[in-house]
Amino acid sequence: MAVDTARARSKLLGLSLPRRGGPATNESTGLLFTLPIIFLFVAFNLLPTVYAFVVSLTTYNLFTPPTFVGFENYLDLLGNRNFWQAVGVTVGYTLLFGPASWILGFLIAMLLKDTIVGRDLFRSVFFVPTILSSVAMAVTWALLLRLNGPINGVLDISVPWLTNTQTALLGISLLGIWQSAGWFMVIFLAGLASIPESLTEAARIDGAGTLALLRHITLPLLRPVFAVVVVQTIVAGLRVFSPMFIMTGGGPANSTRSVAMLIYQEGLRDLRMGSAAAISVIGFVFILALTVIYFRVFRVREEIGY
Amino acid sequence: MARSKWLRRQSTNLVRLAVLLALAAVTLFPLAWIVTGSLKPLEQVFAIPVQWVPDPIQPQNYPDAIQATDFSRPLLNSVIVTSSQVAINLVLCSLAGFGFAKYRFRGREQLFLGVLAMTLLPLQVIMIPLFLIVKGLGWVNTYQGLILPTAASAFGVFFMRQYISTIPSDYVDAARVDGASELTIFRKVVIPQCIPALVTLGVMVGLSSWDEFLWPLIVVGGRELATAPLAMAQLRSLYQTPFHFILAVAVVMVIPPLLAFLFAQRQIIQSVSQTGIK
Repeated sequence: MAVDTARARSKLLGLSLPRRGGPATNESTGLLFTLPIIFLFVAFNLLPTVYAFVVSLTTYNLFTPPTFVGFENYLDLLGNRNFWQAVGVTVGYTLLFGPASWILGFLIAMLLKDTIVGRDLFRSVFFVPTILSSVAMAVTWALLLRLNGPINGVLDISVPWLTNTQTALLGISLLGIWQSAGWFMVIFLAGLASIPESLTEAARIDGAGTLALLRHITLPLLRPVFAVVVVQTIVAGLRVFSPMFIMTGGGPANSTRSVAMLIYQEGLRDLRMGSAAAISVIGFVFILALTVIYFRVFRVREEIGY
Repeated sequence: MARSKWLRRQSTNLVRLAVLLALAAVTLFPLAWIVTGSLKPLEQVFAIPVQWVPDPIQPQNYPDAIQATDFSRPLLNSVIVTSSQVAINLVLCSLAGFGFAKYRFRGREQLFLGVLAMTLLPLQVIMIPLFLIVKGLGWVNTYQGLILPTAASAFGVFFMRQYISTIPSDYVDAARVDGASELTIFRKVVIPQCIPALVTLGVMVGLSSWDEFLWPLIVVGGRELATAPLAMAQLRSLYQTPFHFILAVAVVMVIPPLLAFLFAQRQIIQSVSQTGIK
């Protein structure tokens, strides 16, 4: 019984370390079962990660043999305007789409948390944009955001969303918000459902209003969930590629070229593999640091054990 | 007293409903525009105010669009890639999940943590070396190059391990006492109990596989192996395709994930809320 609840809880938390023990049997069999997929991870994830570092220490254009240059690629990046601009675009995109999606997702989750007419239907409607083909959505949103497009039409404005350096990133972020609000809604709904009814009920009996309830009970108890959401948002920002590639091609004037897109252009368009690999390694180190935090966050969640 | 409380609750509910309806309308607006646009004559696509009912309704746009954009081969390629990646993960993730959940071996914990770490390693930071490796294998512009490098789902291993852990070990032990081989136990005892989890896993892998854009962009050279997202992105850059055709093709691309969602909505939402990892 105790084991069952602990297991159910760790399932809810989304992470648990393997139990020690398990039935004793031939050692190698279990390992053997895991090997096929481990092999794929090693060949296509681990090996490239190591290889990225090796390539980043060379200049290589696919046609002439690579030459070793030490940390020159990294030093060059420090003074490279394109690199810093891409970092700025990535941070900007993250800040534009992230907080807005959290707030919307949280608002919707709060509205859907208790029974209401059509609750499941609403939840589906808000969630559906997250699963639709993101390329198809990027292409069609580029049409939606045209100067003579329906978004300008309905709002009765004429903003050159994707063709102006001032607004292009914002235009792309609108798609990001539209696609991620429902995602965060689901995560917040799960978080809200894990807050014990008795707690909010007790606070309400003590005379706490809706806002006080939110400030003193709901938000503090959701802190671990917020941490996860923030990490997910940062990783999503670092990954963002197809909306820029498709909607603006990184333009105008590189004002929407993200880090992921810069890696692609440096490496696979301009064939500067070393430089592209160096940017990748920096991204990797960043993600690694974030991963450590992420795992800490989960441990925090386990400690709180809501 | 009780009555006024009831009244107040009803009015807050009404406000809640109104806000939800407004937000739902905003969410659905782009989709409604895309779907109706795909059925319009070209000159009505950008009509302002938006013409919500096409006049005449042109379902013929769909076959015309597929033909004009040469889209059936990309769709077929996407079906091949997606079903292969789903199949690979159904087999390998449940095998690995079984291994991690029901066996004890040296380095198990470290290996499992290593797999977990993979869920946070995006393709974006390994695309350059991965391309070089795949190029070295001579796999550029081949199906295996398109399918294998991005196939393995770390989320899938984690997910299957969690699920198989909940199957009582007694079943496994009983079968072993009866003399079943380990692989038979996997096939005859574990798999039949994993069907719900396998459905969820298949849908989740299928969704992300269908959506994959960056890797095909890197590894596919010509038109022959282009997947649907690749071909779709090219429509945009070529800028020669009439808009109502672009919208029709977009709707076609959105139908499979939509069907998957209708079919497995509960599982999808559950797995997102449990793990937060797609």
